[in-house]
Amino acid sequence: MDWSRTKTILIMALILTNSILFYALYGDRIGGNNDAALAQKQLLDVRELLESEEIYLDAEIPVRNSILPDIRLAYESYEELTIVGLLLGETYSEIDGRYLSKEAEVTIHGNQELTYRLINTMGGFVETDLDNATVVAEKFIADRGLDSTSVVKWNSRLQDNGEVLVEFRQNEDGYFVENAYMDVLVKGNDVVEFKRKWFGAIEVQETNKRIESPAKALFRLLPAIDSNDDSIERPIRIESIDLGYRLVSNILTINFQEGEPSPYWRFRTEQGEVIYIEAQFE
Amino acid sequence: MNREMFKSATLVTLFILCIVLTGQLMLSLSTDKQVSAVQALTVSKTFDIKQFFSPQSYIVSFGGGIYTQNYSEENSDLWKEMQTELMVSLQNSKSVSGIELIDESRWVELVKSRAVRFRLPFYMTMSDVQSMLELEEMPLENDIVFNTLLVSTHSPEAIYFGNERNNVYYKMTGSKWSSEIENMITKIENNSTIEYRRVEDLFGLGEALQNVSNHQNNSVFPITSMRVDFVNVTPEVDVFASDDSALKSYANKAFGKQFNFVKKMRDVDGSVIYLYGYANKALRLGADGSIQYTQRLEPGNKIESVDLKEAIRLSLNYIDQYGGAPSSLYLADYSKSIDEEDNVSYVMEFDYRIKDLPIITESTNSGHSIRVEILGDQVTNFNRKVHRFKDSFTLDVWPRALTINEVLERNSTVIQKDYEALLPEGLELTNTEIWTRILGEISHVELAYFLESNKEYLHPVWKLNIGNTSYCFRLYDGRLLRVQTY
Repeated sequence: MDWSRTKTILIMALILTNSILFYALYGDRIGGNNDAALAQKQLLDVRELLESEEIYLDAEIPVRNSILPDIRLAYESYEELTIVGLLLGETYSEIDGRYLSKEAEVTIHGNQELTYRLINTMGGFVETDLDNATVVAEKFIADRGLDSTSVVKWNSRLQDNGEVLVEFRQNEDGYFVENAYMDVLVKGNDVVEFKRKWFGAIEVQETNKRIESPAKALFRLLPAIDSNDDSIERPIRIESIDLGYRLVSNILTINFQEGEPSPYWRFRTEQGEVIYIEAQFE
Repeated sequence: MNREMFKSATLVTLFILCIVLTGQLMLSLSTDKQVSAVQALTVSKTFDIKQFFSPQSYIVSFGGGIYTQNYSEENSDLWKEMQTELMVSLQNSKSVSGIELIDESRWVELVKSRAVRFRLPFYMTMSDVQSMLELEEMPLENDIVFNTLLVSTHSPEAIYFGNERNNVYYKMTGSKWSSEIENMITKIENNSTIEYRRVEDLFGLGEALQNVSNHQNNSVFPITSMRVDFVNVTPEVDVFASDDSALKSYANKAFGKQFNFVKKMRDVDGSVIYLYGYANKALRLGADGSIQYTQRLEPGNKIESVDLKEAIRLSLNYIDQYGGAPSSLYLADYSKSIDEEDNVSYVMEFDYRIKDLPIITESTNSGHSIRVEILGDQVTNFNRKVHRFKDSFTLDVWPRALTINEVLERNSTVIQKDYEALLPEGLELTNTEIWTRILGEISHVELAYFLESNKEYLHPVWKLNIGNTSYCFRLYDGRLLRVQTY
């Protein structure tokens, strides 16, 4: 028997079998350049479709890894009152769950949400400068040691009474984390109100979620805009597109303390409207 | 030679790779199968739905104006006999087609005779009864609605049906029913502890109410009382347990093993919520021991309507899946509605008893312990708050239990105020007139257990229904625990 020849035939047969097995197992994950070209074409098609509906993309479409790690979030709990000291100084008193100093008061709702309010504020209309308000708000947060790399300025808006609301949101490793905020209300040069609900510990899990491509998310943007509760006026210019986490809610979720958020694409329009699109690949 | 060795090495490597890949492929195929197997598991288990068809209370008349209303072993035997009689009669087309109206005076005669009244937990139709007895539905020309079944030893060939809200009464004639029923009445007579009188006889309301209503109040009113034990109970779910495997097993039942799509949340109060996907399905295991499940139906899916029998089975499947069915579970109420697209939906409510008394749960809106909402053939909302019996105890700080009469006296101001608030505007009545009307509108009095929110024991109470208002008073001191107006 020609042993050498048999080996060659067996090797060929095994290579063929292994290729088939490999394709059956991982066929949907390979494709390489072809996929990229296809994705590019899809993106162009969707862009065209949206433009025909007066939705324009001004934002850069992120090219990202299609995998997002699972995380677990827990709200900072204000059971320990160090934060009250940070906001009110060393001398304050407590009356019925409210913390009072000469200038301001702090209340805590459900151990999670903290509100600081200045007591004696000037009445009437005080015109506040948007840029200056942002500087005042940032300084307020920094002076109290509440700033960190995860604090990102989200928006600043002039209110009817001349005050400016400066909003900060949470961002971890380049991904937005919704359901947390710091809102600072500035009047003149003073912070008259400050609200904070923030995630403390963020635990990155070992598991990952596969993410839908931006093209698919854009494709689902149109029905999402149409079914939005507050109607969004056309033309719509999409100013930013980013990926991150958001806690999903349901009638059975009442007041989260901790939980696992789901991946979302977030679209923000020029007018400040925000639309979330579910991003997990099913 | 070297070349041959290389070939051998390649061959071995390829062979090992082949085994590894085959193994992985088999593994991935079997997990797919498991997932669908787990989802398939959540369906079907057959239940005998007759077991869950039970009266709310049994009013036994011994004749001569003496009544009792109790819950005991004899009652459940009595009901089994009654179910058999009903099944026999309802399968006899002559009996069904011969249902006839009787007048109120005949009904009152029957009520006063040696008889048993089965007060149903809600107003049901004859076809509901047929469904619950799992009989082939026999079409009725005019379906009748009733809340009471009556059998009297004076008329052993008939079963009577009463609609006490509308004062309409019916008779269904069939073959003579078994003498067991009569024997059981005697047995109950020898064992009964609380004596009841008919409201009409007790307060002599007939004349006083002549200008308001021509109808008699046939409800029975207890004139004595008895001590009832308190009961310690434990919630079914403990979200604070250090081992969360019990919680996980509920989540497994709800979502199968596809845990990649399940998110776990914890509320401020400690409740655990599992969300599936983007919250299409959610399971909440409450800090108070409650189990809630909800699912959104995919839009565009065809909705298959089911009949009452199927709706009960579907509910029982969920009850069984989430914690099992308590031994004394019964259907306490249901409603059916049809939307503009002809989709049928049901709301099914169940209750259970502990130590022969029904449980009223404070934290649920309806007071019922289990609520199942069904759209088409899918359960959309499920809400369960059931406690398990641990032990019972007595409190001797109170010398005796109060009678309902004493409770009424202690709470007369509140009851009168509530009643006056519901009177039409501009109607001026004296206190005596108001009280005559209140007593005339007493529709039901019974002993029950009341479960207050955040308490882990059951308080014995008098439950009193006056018109559309329902009160729960503590048995030993008469304190009002809850008032509800329907």
